[in-house]
Amino acid sequence: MTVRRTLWLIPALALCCSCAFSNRENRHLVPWVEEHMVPESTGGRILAAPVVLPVGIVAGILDAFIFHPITVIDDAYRDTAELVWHDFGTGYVTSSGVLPFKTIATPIVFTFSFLGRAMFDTPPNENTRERSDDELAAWARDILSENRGRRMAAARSSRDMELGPKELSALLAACRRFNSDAKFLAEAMHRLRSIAVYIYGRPDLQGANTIKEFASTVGLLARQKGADQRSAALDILEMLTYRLDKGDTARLGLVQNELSRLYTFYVNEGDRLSEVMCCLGLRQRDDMVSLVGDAMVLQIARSLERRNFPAYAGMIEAEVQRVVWDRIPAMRQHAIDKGWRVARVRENWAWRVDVLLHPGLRPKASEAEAVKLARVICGKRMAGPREMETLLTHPRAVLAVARAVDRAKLPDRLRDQLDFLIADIETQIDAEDFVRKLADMSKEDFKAFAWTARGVRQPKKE
Amino acid sequence: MRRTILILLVAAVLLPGCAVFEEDNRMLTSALDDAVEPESTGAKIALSPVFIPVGVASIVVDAVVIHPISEIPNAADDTYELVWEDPEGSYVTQTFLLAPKLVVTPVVFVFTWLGRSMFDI
Repeated sequence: MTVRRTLWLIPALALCCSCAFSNRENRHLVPWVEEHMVPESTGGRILAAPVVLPVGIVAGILDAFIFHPITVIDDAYRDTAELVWHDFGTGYVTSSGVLPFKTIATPIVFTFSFLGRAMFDTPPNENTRERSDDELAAWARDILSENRGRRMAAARSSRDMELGPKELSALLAACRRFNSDAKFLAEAMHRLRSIAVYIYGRPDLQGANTIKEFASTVGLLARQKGADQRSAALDILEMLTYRLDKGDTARLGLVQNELSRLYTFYVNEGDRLSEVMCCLGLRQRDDMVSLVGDAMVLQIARSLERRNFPAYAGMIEAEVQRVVWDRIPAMRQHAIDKGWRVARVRENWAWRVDVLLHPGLRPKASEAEAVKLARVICGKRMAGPREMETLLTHPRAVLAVARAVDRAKLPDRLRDQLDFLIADIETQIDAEDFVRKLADMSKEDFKAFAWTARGVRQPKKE
Repeated sequence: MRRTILILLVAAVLLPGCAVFEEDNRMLTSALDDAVEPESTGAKIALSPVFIPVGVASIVVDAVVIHPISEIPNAADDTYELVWEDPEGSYVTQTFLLAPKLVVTPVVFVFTWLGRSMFDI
């Protein structure tokens, strides 16, 4: 029995890790006690302990069982409204039929949500009441405060959706002013990433000046020493390129412009990891194309070529090639339009070799060649990314084998697979050649390419 | 009490993915929606004593009878794709695999049919 009781401690301890009380924001009386009743000197603390300890315990109990549960009632109410009372169907019979189910579910969902929120540290419902202007102004003052505790508390506040342009500007200013405070920057960058996620559908946060300040400040942080900080900053910029509203590409261009500068910075500094990460921000959105992004493709392609395609840059090449791939409609028709080079190395090659070795497809004359090729390719794959350049020589060899197959003797399904295989390899070879050409293009030619690739007529020269 | 809590927890986990939540999976109720469209609020209130039980019954019939029946062909397709389509290996291998495949077929069918009947797949 004792063992059984002891075993209950394991889930209890696990749950305590995410207990609502563990988050300072969920404590209301305890911080007051800490601020007003705890003396600063060690002697004073010892003397005050007999009074402060019982008061602190009572304050903690009141916080945990009374005050925090009261503050989550509105969140639980909104959870219930969202989960149970959303539109289930527009018809009269459907609405009538689900009414009893909704009525039964309401108190159950509310109770579960309330208990869960009262016991565990859960983020507030997104529709929770907005902070008043006064509260937001106070937050903006706190984030810029010279008092580190106040500044940290503001940076840990997680209601990012309520922050407006003024508060974002204050947060960015704080990042610049206190850029030597690593712990504060880590918290502030959590806020910035969260804002980058929530920025979609927030035109008030997407003004040109705001985005410019956002990108340049994060760019500043991305130049500071420390792999973690650089990685976090680049992650924010990448997120920003994804989450900006569809529309004026100039805002996307502002972020990509910062990434472009960072790329040069990392190349010059020899920071390979950041260089690769920086290129992830190059990924284009389907609904928005920016000339700055195209220019960055050219910049990277030329930089790689100048450095004779360094072995570590395989991932970057894949991104560059994929962007080129996306721009050309004839190539897009093939299923391999996402990260094709990486996919080719990791998976597609294995698939191709399987196709070539299929008993129904394998021509006897080419059997030895196909097996040999399969061994070579598998060997290269196992050798890792350093063999990437060698691997690139093989598409033409595979193409030769595939073309040598007697199509007339194949069943329809295998003939289709073979046709797809040949078209796939030919397209990849074309794309590869195109990247080389892109790197050699003159500025004017590239500009023309960027215009025509988007189906937009090139503006007349004056 | 424990059983009630368990049932509530399981329901809370499973219900959001329930097949009948999707309009396409409520054939009878959707047909009734098209047939009965009271416009005024008064008519809606007057008809509610009839159509609340009718609506509940039609949703239950959709969930328990009509939708599961409509998923039988899909479950059969799934079973064929999973077990019988694209046989691999030589003639001997296929012969060896015939008995296990026969045994597995009803099991796979029941699982896919139940899954498709309960969830929006």
